Amino acid sequence: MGYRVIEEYLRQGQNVARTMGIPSPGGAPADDGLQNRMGAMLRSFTDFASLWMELMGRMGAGGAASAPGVTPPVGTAGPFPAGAAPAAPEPPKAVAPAPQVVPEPQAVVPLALTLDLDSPRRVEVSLELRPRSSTLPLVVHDLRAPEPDKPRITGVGLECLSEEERVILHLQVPEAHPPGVYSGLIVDERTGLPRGTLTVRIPPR
Amino acid sequence: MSNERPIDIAVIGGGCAGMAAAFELTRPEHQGRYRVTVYQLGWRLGGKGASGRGPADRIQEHGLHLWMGFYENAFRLIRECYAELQRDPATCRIADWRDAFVPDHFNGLADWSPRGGWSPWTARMPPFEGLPGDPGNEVPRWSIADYLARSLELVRALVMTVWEPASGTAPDAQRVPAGVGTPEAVLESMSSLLKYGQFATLAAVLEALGLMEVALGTLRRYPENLLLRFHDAVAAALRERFAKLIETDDQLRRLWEIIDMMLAVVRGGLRFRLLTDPRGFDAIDDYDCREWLRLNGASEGTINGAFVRALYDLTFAYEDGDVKKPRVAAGQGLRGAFRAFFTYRGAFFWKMQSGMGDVVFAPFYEVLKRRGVRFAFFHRLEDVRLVAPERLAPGERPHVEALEFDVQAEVVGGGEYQPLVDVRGLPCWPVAPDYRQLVEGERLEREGWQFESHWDRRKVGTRTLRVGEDFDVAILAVGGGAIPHVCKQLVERDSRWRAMVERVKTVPTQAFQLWMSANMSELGWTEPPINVSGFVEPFDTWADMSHLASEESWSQPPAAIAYFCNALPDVPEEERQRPAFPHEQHERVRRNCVQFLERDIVHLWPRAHGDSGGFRWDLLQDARESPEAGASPQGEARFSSQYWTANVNPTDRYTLSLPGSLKFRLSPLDNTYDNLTVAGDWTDCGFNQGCVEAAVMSGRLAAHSISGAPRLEEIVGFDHP
Repeated sequence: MGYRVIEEYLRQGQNVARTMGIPSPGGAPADDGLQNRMGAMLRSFTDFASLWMELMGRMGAGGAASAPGVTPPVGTAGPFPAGAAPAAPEPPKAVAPAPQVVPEPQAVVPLALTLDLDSPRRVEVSLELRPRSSTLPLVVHDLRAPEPDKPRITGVGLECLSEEERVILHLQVPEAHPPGVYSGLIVDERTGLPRGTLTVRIPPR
Repeated sequence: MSNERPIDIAVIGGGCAGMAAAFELTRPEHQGRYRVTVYQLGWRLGGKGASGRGPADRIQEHGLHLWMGFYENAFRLIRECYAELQRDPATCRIADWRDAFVPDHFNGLADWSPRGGWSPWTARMPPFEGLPGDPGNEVPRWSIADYLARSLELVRALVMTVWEPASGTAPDAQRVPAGVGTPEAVLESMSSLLKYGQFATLAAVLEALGLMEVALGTLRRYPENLLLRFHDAVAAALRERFAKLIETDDQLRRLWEIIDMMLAVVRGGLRFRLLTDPRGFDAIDDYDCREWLRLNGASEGTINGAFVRALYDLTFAYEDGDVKKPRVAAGQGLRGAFRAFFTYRGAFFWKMQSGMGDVVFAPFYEVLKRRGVRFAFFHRLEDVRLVAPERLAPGERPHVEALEFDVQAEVVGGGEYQPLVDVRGLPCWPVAPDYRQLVEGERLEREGWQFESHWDRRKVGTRTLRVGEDFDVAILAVGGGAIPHVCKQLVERDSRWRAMVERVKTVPTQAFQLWMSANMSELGWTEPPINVSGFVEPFDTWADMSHLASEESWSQPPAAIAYFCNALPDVPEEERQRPAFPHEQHERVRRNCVQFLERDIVHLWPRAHGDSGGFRWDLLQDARESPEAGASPQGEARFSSQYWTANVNPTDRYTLSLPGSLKFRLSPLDNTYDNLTVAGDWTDCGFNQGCVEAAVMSGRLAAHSISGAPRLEEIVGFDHP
């Protein structure tokens, strides 16, 4: 599926480039088409950014799915108690079980989050952050909606308190900001590599 | 056909995967570009699906085979095969695929009540629209969100079935839940319900379930936290309502176990972010399925209940065949269950109307012969030889330079062995080779050559196929358990192959068949013919196969036929190498059968035991019994007239889907070796579970890797989440 999303992302980009490069009959770009494509491309970008994060997370986490606070897999839940062959004949010789393949448990330190939200209205905040990010200097890109005419949410800050394994998210949403879903990448300032995404949804009034 | 020399394809192994690959590569559309030869151990095709006609033409299988209604690839090919075969219904009773496969709606589980004792839990699975393998009828590619929404729909339907009439007007299942409209409205309704905790009535819970269905089915991005909190509130309300009721009511407890499981699946799907994870279900394959359900809130009763247990039984999902080690990768387990329950067409199960060899492999053999495929029987692969790295020219890729075989028997006159026998107009496979066709056949028969036995290494010669001379491309389609034995050099040289054989484990299986003089109702089974799983060890699965009686040639047809199967506890590798091993295992399975009939079968067939207790051995029909033959064995010894098998040959071992193992599988699309591809249900084929469908998918993928056809999107399920 990853490849398909990436291909779609590239295709959308090519389409946009093509549209921009071909003048419309009136000499001006076809605004509606371009806007739609820009919107679609931005949505693709949002998906692609998430996908990228997933892939990065996968590389870092050794492939195990992550769910906050969930025990890492041990690969068994014990036998079924009912009818589990209490009197089943034993094999002729004792069975020496082969060593089980147990994936390496992953040490995940829980990360605390403090949300410093300044908003006169209700918003939903969704933060995805790769493990072991709290020690890094992180910056959050401006949050953008898929619709290009909507203003960005700017000035988002992410402060890391490595000794407490805590991050503090500073977010300000002006009252007049239009409803929608706004997303931005969280990147490591030193390397420029993505470490997570921040999504804010402003529901309609 | 073009003037170019055809590409010679060596298909090694004539099971489902090998047949699918050969079928695809010899389609008329290829215009003879591929010249296929199938190399097969012994005298018959089929691999784990091989069957044979024994005394009284009775059908003897490797195990119990049922085709599931979601086997889209397998049904597509077999339907095309029958269409091409054009058998005359006037002369052949199985002329069309609908003669060969019959919908089987009635199924059951053996349920262990907390108060003790087994009881059958039966259900008639409703027929779904369409037929499996329908041509030109696109199978929807379901997303995980679709599956979760469907799970909630099922939960809602099950809750509806236990609606107490006294509690008021039954809620309308079809009613659109409040708040449906825009996605925002759905979320607002959910937030509002959550805020006020309005789950006091069952109607509210049903409405809440409906809201979640809509949310999962329509939202483009999922506010997972809200959904999760909402789900937990709904689940808590349901648990509270059911907790007391299920203590005393088995029927309700069973329904609750399914509801509870589905709630855990939805919860896990949200919690593990499967809806947006690009890996789909694969993301949780390091977990065992029950372990994952437990992590997501399923109760102990549920993960140990009949339903979950049957899912393990159906795929022999016991590591080392040990019932104390039920293990299956969670992602594949869920994928399998979702595909099985939500995407079947026509019927949940389809039952074959003869042996699997006769219904599946004889038609494939006949069609492929017509297309010009050659069959080299009695060829046992010994090694796949790679070209030495130092001999590779610059830029040349690693490849197979030779395939080494032991030739087990030569055919008189040097022609091709004719493997089929005629059973009243139906081409079938026999249980033993036709020795008359073999050079010194009489001696081979007298000396008891066991052509399918891994332990009988006798041969009449060897044969080396060389690349460029005898073959261009090889498709390795042997059983997964055989790889360490037939690919020694590959395993030694290539770390990925080594990891694959170490991690992708297989397990032996056991099966037996009974032919009885009393019908099922006389034995105390009063319900229609059924397939039951989740029963005791050593045989947890039973299918009533009485419909096959007319297919066999008994002077006095049996009134009932029953098939049983299960995994067989494994023994260490060094034990398995002893020459006496297969005989010991055969005897071990016989003892299991006798013990099972004496001790356990009475739970399903209350009248199978005599007045003084113990199994009524006189029920068993002996195919060799005749007035001339003298007295037949009586008592327990009469069991020797029935059929049982210990599937301990490496090629017969069943491939497991253990947690953490699936990433070690090799793909048929892997092109590490220029002229070698793999096929079998042990490969990474998009449905990584031992079954006919996986084998056929892998065979189609192998064909795609060589010819580009079929297109990947035609291989249903390959790109499903």
